[in-house]
Amino acid sequence: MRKGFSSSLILFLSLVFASILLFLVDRSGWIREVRGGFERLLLPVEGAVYRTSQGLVTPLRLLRFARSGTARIADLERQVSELAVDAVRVWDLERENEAMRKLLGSPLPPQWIYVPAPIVGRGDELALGVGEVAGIAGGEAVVWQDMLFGTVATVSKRQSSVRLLTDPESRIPVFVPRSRVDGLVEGRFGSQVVLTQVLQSGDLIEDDLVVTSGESGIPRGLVVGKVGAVISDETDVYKELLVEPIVDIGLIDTVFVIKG
Amino acid sequence: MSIFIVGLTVLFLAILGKSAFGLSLVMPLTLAISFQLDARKSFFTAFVGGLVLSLVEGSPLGRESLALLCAAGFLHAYGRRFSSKHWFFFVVFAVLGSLIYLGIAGRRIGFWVVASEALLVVMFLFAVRGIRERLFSDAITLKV
Repeated sequence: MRKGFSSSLILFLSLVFASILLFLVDRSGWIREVRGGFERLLLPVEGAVYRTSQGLVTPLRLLRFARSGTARIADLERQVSELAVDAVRVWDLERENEAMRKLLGSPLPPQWIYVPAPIVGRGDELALGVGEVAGIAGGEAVVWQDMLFGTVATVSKRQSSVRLLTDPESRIPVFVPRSRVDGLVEGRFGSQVVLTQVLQSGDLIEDDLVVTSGESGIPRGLVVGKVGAVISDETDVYKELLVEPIVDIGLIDTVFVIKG
Repeated sequence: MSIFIVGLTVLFLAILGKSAFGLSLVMPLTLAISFQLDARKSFFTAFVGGLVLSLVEGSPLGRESLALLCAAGFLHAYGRRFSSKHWFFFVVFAVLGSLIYLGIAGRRIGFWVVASEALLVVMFLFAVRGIRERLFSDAITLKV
């Protein structure tokens, strides 16, 4: 029995040593091409499994939607008409902004490059089927139609993972265009997005749009969500509010990584 | 137990876990095997499983193997000293093994994550036990 225990211990230590050695070899980049080859084979399978699983979930979503569908459609139609008015105003302001920049001689922002990224998995982080080969380095904003979903956290040769807005380590500086209130959007418990560091006197109402302020390397003007319920006390120094997403990421197959 | 079969099973579970469920299915399988089988098979499963998981998830090679080996080693070192027939010990060691894996692999540790992984360990435990009994029942009969 003692002999059996010794041999098990030797095997355990050998495998631990082999794991550490592999870790160091991987970090040195010597087997990057080999890993890239494996990822190239696995990514189509992962994408197919993800799309199939989303397809299986769709009937459940439709069932849930059917319960409140009429009310939600009416509410969405109202929001669309309000946003159409805002869109015209924003267009006018953008033209004015561009003209002012030219007048002051400051360079226009560089053209954003959108890299399409198929979603191949979703858990605490979103798994994307693009990596270093596509020019992804880490830290880039991940969007869909100018709505921000998160930032690139880890990158390998052909895949990367996205830290979602609900991640406790996610912190995005934002502002509310209507009232020019600044704040910080943080993830809580892996399921909530909270707007924090807003003074109690800050003018915020439900459904106010929350957009990125352009700090910490994320482009300005990306939509984070809309203001929801207040979750802090009136006696707290800062107000905290829930931020509701505008689009369910479960309905999307491809997102875009903003490069440059 | 052929490394090829282990590798294929782990590959299937790794892809399914990442792309369909957003949970690690390889870790529950490894812990369930550690409860049921001998140290040699458990450690090989942990090592091979970790390598495959690293390739599928894009995480650093060797890190997942190390995390799974530590979890499997913990179970072999301490889990088997207690009465492994009572469900309570299964649950406690499933939770502890999950915590060890999540901590070393650098994954987020939250109540629901640990609870769901521990539940999966118990489910895989029944599956492994059932498969083992079905495959080796004739051998047991002959031995008696």
